[in-house]
Amino acid sequence: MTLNSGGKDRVISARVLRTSRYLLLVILAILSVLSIATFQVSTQNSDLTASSYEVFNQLADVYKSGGVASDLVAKLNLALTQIHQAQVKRNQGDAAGAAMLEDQARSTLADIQKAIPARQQGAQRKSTTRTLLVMASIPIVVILSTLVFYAALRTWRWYEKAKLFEMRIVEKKTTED
Amino acid sequence: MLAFAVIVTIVAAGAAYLVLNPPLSEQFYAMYILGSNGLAEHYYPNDNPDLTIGEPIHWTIGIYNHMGSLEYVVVRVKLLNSTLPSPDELTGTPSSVAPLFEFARVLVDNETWSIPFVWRVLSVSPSSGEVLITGISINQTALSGNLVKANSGNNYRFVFELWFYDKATNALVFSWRTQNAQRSVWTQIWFNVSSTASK
Repeated sequence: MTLNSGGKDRVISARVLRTSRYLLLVILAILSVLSIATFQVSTQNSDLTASSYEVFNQLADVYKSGGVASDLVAKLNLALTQIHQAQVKRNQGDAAGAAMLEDQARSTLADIQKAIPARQQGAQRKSTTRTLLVMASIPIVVILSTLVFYAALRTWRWYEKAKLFEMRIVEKKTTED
Repeated sequence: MLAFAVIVTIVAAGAAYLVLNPPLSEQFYAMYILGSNGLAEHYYPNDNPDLTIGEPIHWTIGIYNHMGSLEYVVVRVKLLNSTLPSPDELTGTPSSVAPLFEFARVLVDNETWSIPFVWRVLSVSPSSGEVLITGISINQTALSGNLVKANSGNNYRFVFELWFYDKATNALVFSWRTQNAQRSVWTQIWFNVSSTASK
């Protein structure tokens, strides 16, 4: 009897141990899923923020080259608003709404990135044309101003000569009288 | 004639250089808060900074970019009491308190950004002479938690810090160096909260 009851106890304790193991495993699984979900949330947000930084850098380069892309800046601002709204929705527990806004922000950022190379080329072309125009204007300004100066000098000399000639005629007339 | 041509060449080259590389003016950001009428006055209903629960407050935060380039700026809103650390202008250190709310935008040079900032205290929890703000709404977004507490509900403050994206560190930064000086932009506005609800 003692042996039997001891065996039963052992069987029960083994069952309890097995059940608690399963429970522990389930708890661990839930915890790991939760941690993965939390990690995904922060990664998604930081991914979007990193993408917005990247897009901003490219837009800043367009502006540095002398280009203007106000429509793309407006689009980037729209994406930033969407990222912010997604964050608010996620904090309020609306994961579906947040994911939808994040997708919209992602596609807005992708649209901007697609448009940037053409803008960059355009800005570089504009900048090169401006530099060439300014550089070409230097010899033109030099030649024109030298010509004007030369013409003014020649006119002045002619005027001086004419004045001298007039004085000589007057002198001659007075001596004749 | 040759001397004249040489002088003109030098002057024209100088002018061309200035056209291609315009001199930089002083670089700065400006931030300000305006009251309910869009002026630097009437920050509280009846000009009384002792606010009641549920009372809506209408402010406008203004940001001006004079950095000479496209800038990615973020306004971080922090709720502090009188003892929590303020940002330090001398060292360019932000307040160590976590932001409650953020506004982000890209600004072109010389652009001013006006942010409507409508807020109200939603709930407080008074205990042993202190009042703890447990709920606040900013631009219709409700935020809850143990936000900040102050003695008798006096001397709370909203601190607005201006952060901007720095390409060198690929992160948002609070201060920058110009003309051998550390610069940062922040402003604050004080208020008190009584634990009674508004009528």
